[in-house]
Amino acid sequence: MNLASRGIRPNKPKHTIGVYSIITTMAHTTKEKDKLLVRVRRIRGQVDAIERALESEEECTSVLQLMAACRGALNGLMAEVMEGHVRFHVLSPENRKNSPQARAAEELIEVVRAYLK
Amino acid sequence: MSHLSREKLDLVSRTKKVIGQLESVLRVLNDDAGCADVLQRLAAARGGINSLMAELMEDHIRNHMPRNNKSSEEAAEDLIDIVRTYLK
Repeated sequence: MNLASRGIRPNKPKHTIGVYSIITTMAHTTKEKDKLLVRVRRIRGQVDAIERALESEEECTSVLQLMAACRGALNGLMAEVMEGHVRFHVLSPENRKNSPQARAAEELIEVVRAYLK
Repeated sequence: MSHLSREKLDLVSRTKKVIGQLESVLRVLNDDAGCADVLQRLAAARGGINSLMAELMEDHIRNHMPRNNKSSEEAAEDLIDIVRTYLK
């Protein structure tokens, strides 16, 4: 995994023992892995329901409704992962509190949320 | 609904594709891949569900939009309902 090649600045390790660095932060998608896995599985369940509804030839309005729900859930999840990305990769640990960068990041997060609603 | 049975195969295969895309999200999450990877795959799944929805709407408009038996006002109301459902 090479984050730098994707333009992502990984958090610098803060502590070292001899020549070895201790990485104190990890990707937010790793930290919140279990929670994210549950959400993605739930969305997959929603898509399974769409497939079943199509197979059993249900009313297309109810299929559309299932799709709209699924789309909403996917958008919410994406907004959250993007929020984590801004908080953990764009902001460096030292400017996470009350700095102009932190405020700008919060504004960006609001925009992403509004856009992906 | 008739159009569902006719275009069913295509819609089902698109749905299966979205399921595959979500499974790839699960895979990269499990492998602790970077969040850029996760986001890219989520965006793909989102695109998949959007185009699935657009297609169903298109079928719905083509097949269920009233033609001769309803006034244009009622037809417009029907279309507005469809768009509202889609954009909720």
